[in-house]
Amino acid sequence: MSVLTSSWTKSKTTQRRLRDLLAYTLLAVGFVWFIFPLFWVIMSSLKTFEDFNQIPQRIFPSELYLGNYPSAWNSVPFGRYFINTAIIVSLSVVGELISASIVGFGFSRLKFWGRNFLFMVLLSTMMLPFWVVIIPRFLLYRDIGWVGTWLPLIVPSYFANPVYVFLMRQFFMTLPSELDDAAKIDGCNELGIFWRILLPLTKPVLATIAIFSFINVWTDFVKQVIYLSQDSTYTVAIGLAFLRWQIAQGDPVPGLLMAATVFTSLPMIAIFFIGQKYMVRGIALTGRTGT
Amino acid sequence: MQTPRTAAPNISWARLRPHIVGWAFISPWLVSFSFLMVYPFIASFVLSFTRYQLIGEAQFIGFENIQRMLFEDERVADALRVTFTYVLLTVPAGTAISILVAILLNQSVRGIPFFRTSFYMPSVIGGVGLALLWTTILAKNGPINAALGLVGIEGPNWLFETAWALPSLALKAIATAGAAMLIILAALQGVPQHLYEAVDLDGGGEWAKFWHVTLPQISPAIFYNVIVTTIGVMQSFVEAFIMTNGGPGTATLFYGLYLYRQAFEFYRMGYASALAWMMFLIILALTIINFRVARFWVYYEGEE
Repeated sequence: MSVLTSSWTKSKTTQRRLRDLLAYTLLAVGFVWFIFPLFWVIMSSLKTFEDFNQIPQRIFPSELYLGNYPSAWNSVPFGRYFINTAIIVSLSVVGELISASIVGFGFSRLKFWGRNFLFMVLLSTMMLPFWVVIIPRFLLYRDIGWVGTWLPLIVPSYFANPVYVFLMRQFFMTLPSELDDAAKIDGCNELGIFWRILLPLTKPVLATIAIFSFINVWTDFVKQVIYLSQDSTYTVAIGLAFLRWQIAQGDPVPGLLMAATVFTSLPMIAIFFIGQKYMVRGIALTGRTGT
Repeated sequence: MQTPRTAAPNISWARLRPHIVGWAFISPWLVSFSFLMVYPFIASFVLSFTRYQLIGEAQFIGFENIQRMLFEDERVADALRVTFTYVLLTVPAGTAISILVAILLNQSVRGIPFFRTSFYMPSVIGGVGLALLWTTILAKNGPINAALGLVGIEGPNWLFETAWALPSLALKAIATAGAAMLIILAALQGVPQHLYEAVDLDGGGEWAKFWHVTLPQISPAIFYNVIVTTIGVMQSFVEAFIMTNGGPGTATLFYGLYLYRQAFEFYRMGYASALAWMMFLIILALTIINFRVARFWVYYEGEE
């Protein structure tokens, strides 16, 4: 009997080991598949012009050539573009945080006429295609003299993005209603409950929203290319696209382009490592990365 | 003269107050909803029936734009064909791969957080940077062709050959669908363990567990992904704009790119609005079809 049991457990552990082996093999394949492009770009950014003309190219550069980085940085005014983008992004993130938390509080902790209906409307606007609203928005901004400035990129952030409102609301719903009742007895009004009692508890969602909106605004090429028209207002994404077109027009310096790709992606990678935990939670909850 | 003027406002103020406060709190959204959603939505519908090139007044031209869009402009047909093909290439394959990868990342082996991080990380780069990254990967003398060379195949110049340009963009889209993977992973982690134990008791194997427990349990998350990615992929723009500029020929002329060119390169605001409304109607139809089909494969707790 005991022999039987032990051989049974043994086969169970071998089975388990085989499974782990299979899992690790597939994980290794996936790792190469997902990480290799990044690795390739970093290696390419360190290659000389001659390295690119080899067929096939080697993975590693023949020497560690750092010259692509300064030439990429100076080929378009990236310094200014970084500052511009940082200003747009930080002002937008502040706006998203303020407006989403206020509106999210309204939709979750207050009772008023039309609340549930309006919330359904809010959810359905998340499905509305960007292209169907962009033309009248552009004309509207033009009529008030905002086209060519950063205002169309920043101001809407102060009027509540539905995805972030949804995130805030879902989080507010998890907080016990006793908190509001106790505060009311202490003489707090709604603004006090929001500002002093509940908002301090929402730091994790605020972090999620901050990260989402940072990434979304930083990489939001379409709106930037539509609204901005002067070199002095351009962003990092537009600078990168410029570089791409210069090169497409017969100035073949791929190493330079790859160097620019690397240093313009660094803020994303950094924010990802800082806020990974919050991001993952947010994606699991809303099923998207914003907008 | 003797109207109950003093009492009534007090009572109604007390009754009105919570509603007023509530509407005040959501007012930022009401503003953006009115001016940035409802107004543009209606305005682009009205603009569809006009000719408007940014100067002067918009001219009412009846169904001219619609007629041109549906019957005369061959580029529209091209753009639709390209976009539908792109949806068919990316959504089913992308969904299948994100399910498989999510299952892999849900295994209880050591080091799994490391793998989750590294699988998801590339997709955060996004936008122009990610498009350029993949332009390099797909270059004639890039790593994909180097790998094919090892097994004796001479790879094509992916982004510059009519037959391969669109599949190449689809490959890029599938390889960077990190968010979809995480949504399904979250759903997998929500599957109640006792359901698997029940299959064990019935003597079912791994396949039975996957087919009868895992798949039905995560089907709402898969469905949600299909809806959101279909809507997103229909509107694709950046990939074509940066990687191929719609070419070669019209091989990667996404509908979004064509609309962008009409609106913001040729300033045909009326015609572009008609194109935008057709895109809206197509996306709406696809979403409705998705919901109809969902009845046959999406499982919701509490039904049956």
